[in-house]
Amino acid sequence: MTDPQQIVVIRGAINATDALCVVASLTGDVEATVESEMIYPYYCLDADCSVPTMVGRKQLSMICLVDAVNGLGATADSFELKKETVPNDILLTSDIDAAEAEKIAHRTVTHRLGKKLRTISTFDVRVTPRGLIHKRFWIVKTSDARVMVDSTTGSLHPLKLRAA
Amino acid sequence: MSGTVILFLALYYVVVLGIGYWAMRHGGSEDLEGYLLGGRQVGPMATALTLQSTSMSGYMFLGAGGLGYTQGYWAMWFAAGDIGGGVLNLSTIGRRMRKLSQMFGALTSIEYLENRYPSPAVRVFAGVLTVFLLGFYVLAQLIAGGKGMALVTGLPYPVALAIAVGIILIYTFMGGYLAVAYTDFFQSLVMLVGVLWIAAAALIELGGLTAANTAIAEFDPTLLSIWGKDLGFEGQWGVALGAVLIFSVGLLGWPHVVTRHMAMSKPATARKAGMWATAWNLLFVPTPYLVGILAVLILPELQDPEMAIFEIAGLLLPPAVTGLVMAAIMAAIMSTADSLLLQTGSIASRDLYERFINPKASERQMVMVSRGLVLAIAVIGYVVALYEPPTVFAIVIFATSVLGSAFLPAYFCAVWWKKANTAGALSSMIVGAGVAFAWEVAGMVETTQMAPMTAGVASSITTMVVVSLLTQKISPVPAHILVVMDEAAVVGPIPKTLIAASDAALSPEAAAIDAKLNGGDGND
Repeated sequence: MTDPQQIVVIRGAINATDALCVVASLTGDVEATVESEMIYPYYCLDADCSVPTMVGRKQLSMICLVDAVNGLGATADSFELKKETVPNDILLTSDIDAAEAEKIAHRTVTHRLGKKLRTISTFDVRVTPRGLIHKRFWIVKTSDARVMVDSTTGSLHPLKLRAA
Repeated sequence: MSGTVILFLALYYVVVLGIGYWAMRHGGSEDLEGYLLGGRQVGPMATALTLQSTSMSGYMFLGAGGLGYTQGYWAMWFAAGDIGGGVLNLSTIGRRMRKLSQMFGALTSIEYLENRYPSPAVRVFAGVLTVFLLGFYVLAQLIAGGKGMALVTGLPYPVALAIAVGIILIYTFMGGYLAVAYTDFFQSLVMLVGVLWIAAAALIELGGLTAANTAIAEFDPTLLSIWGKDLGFEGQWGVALGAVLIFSVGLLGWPHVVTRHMAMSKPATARKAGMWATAWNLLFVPTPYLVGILAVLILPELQDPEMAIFEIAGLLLPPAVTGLVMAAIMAAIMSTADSLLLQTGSIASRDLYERFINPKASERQMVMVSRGLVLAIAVIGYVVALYEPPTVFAIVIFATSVLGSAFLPAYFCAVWWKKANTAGALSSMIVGAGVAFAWEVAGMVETTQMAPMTAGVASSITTMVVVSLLTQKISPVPAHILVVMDEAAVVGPIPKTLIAASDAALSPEAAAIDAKLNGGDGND
């Protein structure tokens, strides 16, 4: 057992039992079990944007999460956070530093606004880092596959496709 | 034309309309995935035959026969390409594209391109170009259908055209992709039987192939050459290569053909479908060209070479068989027209209307919009086809050359090359389409002895490679796409129920967690 770490985790609505129910109902596999959990790191940044409109500039705020392992950015809905102590063996380590995360967040928000507003304009985007947060994924084992279930949304994705 | 022929045609039309109705009742129009991709449930034989019959249009009974009639055995360069096109397509990109398209959630081949090369510009350019070119291709098929129908029934061309367009429209409108795939399946069998019967009748009339070739040698020996009548294409390897490329490699760049991969019941279907495609091609493809060549001896004073196969059938076959053969000819035309009509409507609705005009449209609305656009395109096609049309062969070659040149590298590299990025793909589409178009319009074939397709494909491939490599830093391939490409490369199924519910956006997290669970640190 490795040393535990105190981290900040997004408070998820989906607990282990809920995750098991989601997967079991989809697959019909009554033997499905929750095998483990994994804690995934993200950089959380606040983005404040000034966008042009017909009647002047409009201020928009949004949250941007940057995947600290893969460097992928996405905007996110608001969420609650809580402190937890978790063992190291279920915690993924980040591969992206904070400075890089800021650049990714800036690019993500700019691209998102461009797509949403369908304009070719420049936006004034300021990004403020909030630090590293984490999300819990439940790992459910069925007879066909292993599945990870997002503890905040209940979305799922198969793991180990080769074994399916 | 006899009542027997018309009876056979009518019977054929009843069958295809019945299939359309069946498709509508069996989920072919319940939701958008059902209407556009048949619910991704099409098996290997139907996949192979819809792919082949979609690419084998009225051209095979008009243009191919005409080319054989006018240029002799030179026409077989095109047959050589045609034979390998389907299996090449299925074996190189079929399985991976099937998996990748489902993981992206793409319902059209153009949406798939934007998912792989994220940029609205990709969708706009690819969508507009495809709708424009497929519109010409649809037009060519409708003209062929009208001509064929007029010849068979003796009806005036506008009336014959209306009947042909109306039949195609009804079953496509009703049943969407499922109707198109299964009518194509039926039509490809009718095509095969019909063309083999005409060829057999022509060979019997001439006393066999050897006797026929001997007679052609006396009539015009240059028709036996691989360089065409009067050796007009002698030494023009670029043109010959283009003829082979256009229907083999070129198929890899045709949006209406690669869509077939997306609709397969599972990725493994590609392999079996390839076998069926090869078997069908070996029997079907060379035959219309051969019949055209033989027609030189049977009908030496033919005014319109594109009517060679029609005229041979009417001359040599008894009415009952002529009816079947006429049905086969109409089947070839309709099997392409329905696919093109549906594709054009799908791309216009999903890739242009829903993507840029009304992103909040519901599934039900989208099915109605798709159907409405299919109707609109058919009506516009009918009106345009009423006017004096150019030859079918010229239109098909032009449209397919530009399509293949524009999209071949994009579709191929989407599954095989991780460095193929948005900048590379968009540039290759623009350059490929532009070069092929300019080559044709500027008449560069004579001066360079290179077909537009050859020049177009060479340009687009070069552009894809150079631009992708030069822009790796400023236009990197997103990490989630690389992960999904790795998953698509794996041979094996994914549990069906999980695929239906899985969130592709979680692919990067899944890969990292998978690596961690397998003993890595999650950062591989």
